[in-house]
Amino acid sequence: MKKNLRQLLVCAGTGCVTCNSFEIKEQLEQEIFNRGLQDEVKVVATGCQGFCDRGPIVIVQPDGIFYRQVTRKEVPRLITEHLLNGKPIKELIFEPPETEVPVPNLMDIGFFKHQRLIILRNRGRLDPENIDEYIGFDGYLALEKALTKMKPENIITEIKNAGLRGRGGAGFPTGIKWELTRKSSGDIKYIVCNGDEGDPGAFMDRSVLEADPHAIIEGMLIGGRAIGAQKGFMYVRSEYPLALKRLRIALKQAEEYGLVGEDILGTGFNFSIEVIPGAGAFVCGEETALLASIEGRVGRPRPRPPYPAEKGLWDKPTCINNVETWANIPRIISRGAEWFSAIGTETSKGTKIFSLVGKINNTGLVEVPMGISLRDIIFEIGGGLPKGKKFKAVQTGGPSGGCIPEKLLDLPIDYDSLAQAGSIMGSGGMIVMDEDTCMVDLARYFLNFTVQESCGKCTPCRVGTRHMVELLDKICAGLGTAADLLHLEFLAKTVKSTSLCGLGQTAPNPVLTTIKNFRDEYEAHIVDKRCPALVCKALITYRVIKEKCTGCQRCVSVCPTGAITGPRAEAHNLDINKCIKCRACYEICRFDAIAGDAIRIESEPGQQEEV
Amino acid sequence: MDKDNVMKINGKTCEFEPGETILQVATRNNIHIPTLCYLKGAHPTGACRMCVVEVKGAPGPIAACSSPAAKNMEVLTDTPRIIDARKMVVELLLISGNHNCAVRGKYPQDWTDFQQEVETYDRADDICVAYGTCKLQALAYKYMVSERRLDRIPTRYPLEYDDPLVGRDFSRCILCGRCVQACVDVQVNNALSHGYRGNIAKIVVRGDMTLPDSDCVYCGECIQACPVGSLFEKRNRFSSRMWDITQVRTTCYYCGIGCQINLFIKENEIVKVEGVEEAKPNSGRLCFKGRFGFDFIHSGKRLTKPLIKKKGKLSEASWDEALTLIAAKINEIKDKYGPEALGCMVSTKNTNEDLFQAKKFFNNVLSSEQVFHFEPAGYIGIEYEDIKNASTIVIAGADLNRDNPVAASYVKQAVLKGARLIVVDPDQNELSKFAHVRLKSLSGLEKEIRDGTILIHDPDFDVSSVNGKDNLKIYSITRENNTNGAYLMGITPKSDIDLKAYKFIYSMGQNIKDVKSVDFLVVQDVFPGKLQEKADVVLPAAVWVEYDGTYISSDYRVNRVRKAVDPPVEAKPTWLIFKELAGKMGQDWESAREKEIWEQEIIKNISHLEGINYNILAENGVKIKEIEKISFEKTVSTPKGFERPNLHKILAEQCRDLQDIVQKRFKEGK
Ligand SMILES: Cc1cc2nc3c(=O)[nH]c(=O)nc-3n(C[C@H](O)[C@H](O)[C@H](O)COP(=O)(O)O)c2cc1C
Ligand code: SF4
Ligand code: SF4
Ligand code: SF4
Ligand code: FES
Repeated sequence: MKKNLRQLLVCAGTGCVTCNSFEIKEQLEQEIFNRGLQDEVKVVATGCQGFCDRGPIVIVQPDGIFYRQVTRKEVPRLITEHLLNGKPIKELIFEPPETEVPVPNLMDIGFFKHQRLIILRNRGRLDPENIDEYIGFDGYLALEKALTKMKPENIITEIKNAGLRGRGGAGFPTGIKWELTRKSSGDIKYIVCNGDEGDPGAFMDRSVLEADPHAIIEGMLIGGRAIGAQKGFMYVRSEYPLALKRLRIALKQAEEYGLVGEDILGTGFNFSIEVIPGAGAFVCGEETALLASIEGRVGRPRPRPPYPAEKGLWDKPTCINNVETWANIPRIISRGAEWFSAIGTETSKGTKIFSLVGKINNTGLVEVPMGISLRDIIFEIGGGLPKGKKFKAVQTGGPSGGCIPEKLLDLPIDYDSLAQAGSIMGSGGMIVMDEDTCMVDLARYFLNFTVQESCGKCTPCRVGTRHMVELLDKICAGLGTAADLLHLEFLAKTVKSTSLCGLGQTAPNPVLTTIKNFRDEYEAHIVDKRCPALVCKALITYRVIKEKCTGCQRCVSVCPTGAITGPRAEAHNLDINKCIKCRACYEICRFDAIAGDAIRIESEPGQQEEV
Repeated sequence: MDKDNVMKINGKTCEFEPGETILQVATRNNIHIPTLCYLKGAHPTGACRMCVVEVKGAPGPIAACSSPAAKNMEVLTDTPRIIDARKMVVELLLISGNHNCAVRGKYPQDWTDFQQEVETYDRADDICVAYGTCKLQALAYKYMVSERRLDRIPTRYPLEYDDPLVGRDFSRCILCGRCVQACVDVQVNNALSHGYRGNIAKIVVRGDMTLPDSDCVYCGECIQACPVGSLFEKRNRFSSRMWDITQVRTTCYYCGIGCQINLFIKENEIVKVEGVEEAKPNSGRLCFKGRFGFDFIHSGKRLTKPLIKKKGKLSEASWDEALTLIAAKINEIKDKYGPEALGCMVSTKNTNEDLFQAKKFFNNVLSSEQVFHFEPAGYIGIEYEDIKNASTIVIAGADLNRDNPVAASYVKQAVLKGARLIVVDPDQNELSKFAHVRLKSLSGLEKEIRDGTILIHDPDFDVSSVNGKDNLKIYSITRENNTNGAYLMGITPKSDIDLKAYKFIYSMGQNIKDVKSVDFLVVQDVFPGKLQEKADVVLPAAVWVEYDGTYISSDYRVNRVRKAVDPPVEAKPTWLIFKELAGKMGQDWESAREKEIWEQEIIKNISHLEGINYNILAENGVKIKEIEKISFEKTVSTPKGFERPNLHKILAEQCRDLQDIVQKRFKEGK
């Protein structure tokens, strides 16, 4: 039978859905039907492929051809030229910006080639809204194994031997956490899946939730069995409607199949799962705040101990793990601890999903083995920086991560090496910065986020971070002194060491690492009153280069304050007293083919404004 | 002691109980660790970070208030690193508000501007209310945090000053959260909570309203918990300063709980009341009556001189005149009708010494047994520890929220911890909103009783139908402060009385409707009242804070009361009135002071009180042993035709403002 010989995998992750991938899918199905190909070609809506800024994405299998930015116009051609005539559509083939040579084959594209998919193994190949497809890819076999062939203690031993560490940020060994929860006294225990994912720019958990909800459910079931819990909660950001929807569908299907509920697979094991939309605050991702939020209280962290493993939800022992952590579980159980622990480094096993954003050619989600170097991720997978700009730093671990400079790029990434570099794994955010980034301004930017998101409970985080922002404001404005820098550093260290929860304890990381790795930049702001990256408004001036200016008057028309004047065809005049440094003239001139670059931004020593 | 449970603090070996925090162990060993947010009796929140200490092996400072002690732990409480961290915490807190008391650094100009700004904010040119008592200020001095390296954060929320009693000054709030804990975890009134996030965080009453619109019942627990000048009592905001004050420890006058309080006295006036933190039974907590209800003492309406009825009108007289008249009338009536026609209706608000003297006077001088009161009494005195540990708590007829609010807080706390609450007779009872079961009468109670069930009833509520049931302990809680004292002094409540039998009545403010058959009526009272119009002699009595004595509370604890202010003009303590009256009748009583009455007479004659002298009562009260033996066999309730004593009503009235606020809300259906 020639049934479903070919598959068209249409990405239905949030990114692609926003670019109307569902319309493309419908149109593909229509065209296929119109040509009577429905028995030979199947269209599948899959989870996120990770290459989000190239959506909508369509992959033709088994040919392995990767199409990006597919539009409605090209759909008929995709059928006629590719499916019927075997000729891939050139216009839809990916061209890496760094080489500009088209790469038709998925596995030849740098972005995919270096990835290793364990957690996201099902991301591009099955329909997350259909449990049968999950089962078709060996889904729920691990659960069966765990329930019928393993004792709870053995499950825990397996996870411990695998060396899996929590993917929610702190990297606590998962097996040990399970063991502690199992050993805590009490009949009632709970399992919680932390899907709050509040880091801006992070979407790995969302992608797992959308692409493979059953893997998480299966992981939680196995965890429930191992720990002796009968009830699980999935706390998922309410800003993730698609993930919530798919989770609910998956749960309903699993319940219908007798995989969730009572007497699962006839083993007498009962486990139910409830989905809880998150309260919306970043700090609600912190485990004790999250538990408070599930209990219906204000989501504010509390001191630990007692850890949730002893006293969690309603004071009962509770095991809380991250989405990605749970998704690893079925794989470890089916393939064994040995297989899993062979991947990664000495202290960090398996793979980790990172979201690659910022000044990088290929932004998206990547799953890579632990121990891969930052350089490989940024230059091999990420395709380097756009416009030939120079790499300056990469921030790992979200807004409270540290900034890692060029000289540490060969660092093999794992929990410990990142910590040593003053950063964190966090949830796996990775923001790449080029030479145009001012590190002082950047530290201020990230810190502003934490100031907004601090729950306000403890003194160092509530008052301390705010003052750090004030000091950074001062430095960016060219008003900082050497004493301010010293004070900032001391404040940062104190906030880090004395805050109550992880938020305050990590918030100073961007400041501390930028001071450590880019001290010269701070000093430039303080001593020379200069912003080397030409970012801090108070320290830069705009100037018209007389020799280059053609007098085209385009800048005159965009300047909101009328700071630029000049008769047509003569070099223009820029009044720095009127200039508000909005950058409009600079941008318009830069892309002007004739004049180009006639407006410059400069930062000279001692040039800051009078205050 | 388990050798495993040993740790070191500053090199000193300390034993600890499992579950104790570093702070608790240190405190027990007299090692001081500074705290701001820690509230004894509530779960540590770890909010202020003042209590950080160094623990060997730990990567960073550890909060002592919330970290459990562990075997072989080595703690250092005052290393340079720790001091630096604490200084930073203090500095951050100082700049986070209008703390215009700290030592300032370099710029006098800044200080003036700052002070002017603060004045506009808090509408006063005085410094912060808490000056001198503020914990933050104390820490600023201790750690010598004097420099302002950082700019102050402008205050976001305006001063809240509309409430009749409590002011909230957000510019001084350090967000330690103690008030919220006091309100939610201790008093369980759930009026306060944390609102907003990050640096705009604010302590709010539900939905960020003002106190009068909230569930607040004005227990004032939050004010007492506030370590700084953010919550304050409006009426003494600028009227008294710490150094103007002498504190007098005494026992609250209002109900049978016998809360231990400190009176703040300035120039013969009470300006403020606080609960005594370390004392039983209230551990610092108070209710709105105990905390705010002392205005009556300094009221201009007090009776200050004896009055004698002349030509149908009461007019001022001297004590000598009044007592001579009473003595003569007593002799006359006794001769005519015999001693049992002489009756005394006491108020159980009086001290044991007062009551003992009254009893002695009637028994020994007049040979009359007719000394009694109408205050309901019943069964066994309450044990608050048992509330904490009960599996099920039954409240029968006792409106604890109204009559014994501190006991209500214990009940509510137990409910928070998982106890089942059954309220019998729920319509009038605010506690029913916490109840799991509500019953109209005791008849349905039987099936609810299980192991560890206790029943607390108002003595007016007859519980004899369930008395003696297995698994059920019955406690009564008295409404008045010294009902149990009266009982021990040998004065029992009367529930049936034939007024016609009495020709002479001495009433301690007890209201009697029909006195036509009485030949001679003496009313001793604090305020003018209706009965006095019918009296032949009115005697002005001193109250509670105006002389020494003892009370015996609902849990049979003997507590001291102490003189804190002088009585107005000629008002006299009850015990002294009887001593002088006895003198007029030719008997010279030896004891010339309260202490002598108690120590020479009372504790020598009443075996339950043996050995409990004033010295022993110097600080905490002493519980009477073998309470069960001194319990009532049945409940005794107020007879018909007798209202509560005059003073009781006046006390209720002077809390009227508060009650209005509270009751209005209650009526509105919450
Ligand atoms: C401020 C803050 C935010 C956090 N947000 C998340 C989150 O969004 N998702 C998550 O899984 N863990 C988050 N964590 C970590 C959790 O507290 C917790 O360590 C984690 O859920 C444990 O799971 P794991 O052991 O599988 O990593 C956060 C921690 C902090 C301090
Ligand atoms: S560190 Fe920040 S977020 Fe965490 S408890 Fe303290 S104030 Fe709240
Ligand atoms: S007075 Fe009592 S009830 Fe009112 S807010 Fe304060 S603690 Fe709560
Ligand atoms: S009002 Fe007082 S007790 Fe309440 S949080 Fe503020 S400083 Fe603490
Ligand atoms: S007293 Fe320990 S953190 Fe406040």
